Amino acid sequence: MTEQANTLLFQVEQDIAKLLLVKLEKFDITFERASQIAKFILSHLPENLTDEQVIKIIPSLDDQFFELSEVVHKHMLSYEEKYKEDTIKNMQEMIKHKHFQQASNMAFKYFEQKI
Amino acid sequence: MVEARTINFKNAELSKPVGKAGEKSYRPDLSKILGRLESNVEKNPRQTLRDISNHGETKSIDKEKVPITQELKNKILGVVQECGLGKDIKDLSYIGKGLTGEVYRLTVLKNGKETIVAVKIGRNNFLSSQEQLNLVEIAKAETTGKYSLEKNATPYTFRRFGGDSKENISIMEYIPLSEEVPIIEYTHLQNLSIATQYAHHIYLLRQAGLVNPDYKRENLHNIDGQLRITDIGLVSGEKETLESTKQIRLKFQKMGLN
Repeated sequence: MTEQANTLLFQVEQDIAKLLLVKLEKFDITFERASQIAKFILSHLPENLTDEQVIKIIPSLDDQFFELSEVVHKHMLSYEEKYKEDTIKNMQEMIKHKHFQQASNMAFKYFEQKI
Repeated sequence: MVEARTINFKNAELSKPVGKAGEKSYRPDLSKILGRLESNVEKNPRQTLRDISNHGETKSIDKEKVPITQELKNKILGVVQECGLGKDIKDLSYIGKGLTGEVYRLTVLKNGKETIVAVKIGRNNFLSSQEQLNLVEIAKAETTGKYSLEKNATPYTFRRFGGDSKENISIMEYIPLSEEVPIIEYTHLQNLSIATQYAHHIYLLRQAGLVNPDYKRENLHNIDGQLRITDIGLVSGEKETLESTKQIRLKFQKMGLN
């Protein structure tokens, strides 16, 4: 369980499950709606996904269920924090070596994920 | 008093009624269920999600557990007959709890024709704050027919068939939201557009002290360009509400919206 608990998938599932429970407790959401969201998550985030696969799916989760926006936001911020410095360093290095296209691609990839 | 209203985008005014006390969110006894679900969330959140997913499907079973006594049926039938809506009860089922009481769906028969209405049974222990007292004042006034926004030609109208103030019974138009009215999936831009229009109206309504802030996404429905808002609670007394309504109409007029 400890290994699994470190995966992004586990953290996202846990955040969403907790969010749904809190919303149910406060009557912010109906059981039917929570059930729809839970079903959606189980089908869109199948077991054994890698962190890279999960981070690509996360931004689209709240397109269908706005209730998930805070979880999406949290993990996107975390992604930005984690990769921002690395991306900047790599880009600077690439620009220094005049690999402009690669730097541009890297920036594009970062922003694409961020959005 | 939990109400349902329509806001018409095209005319930017509150328009014809969509009813009140429609299909409310069903609220089963959550404490036990949530306690069970929470026990798993730290170790196995996926299982918690599966459990939540499964619980949504047990709704109809839970509903049937709510007892409906013959006494309650008789009381409701008396009110329904007084309203002239029907002579016999074909079906009475529990919908859920609202702010001020429990709501039922009632099918009545008159000359072989079925009519479905919502029945609200007010709670006797509801009177614990001034705001709640105000809500009950309005409910009573509505029940006795002394208060009618429709009659007073305000921009807000709703259908009310009748009630019994002593028994706290209200008979209202029924809207089967969760069964027949689809919640449309919007794009982000559509949501933004709706939210902007919604915010504008709500701003005016709240400024006038007409409604309480119980607005949720699940209470918003877009039908043919109309934003339907269900479960809006009136917050002020009869006189004040009518005064506020006049003010809000003036605001609409000034803005060229009425």
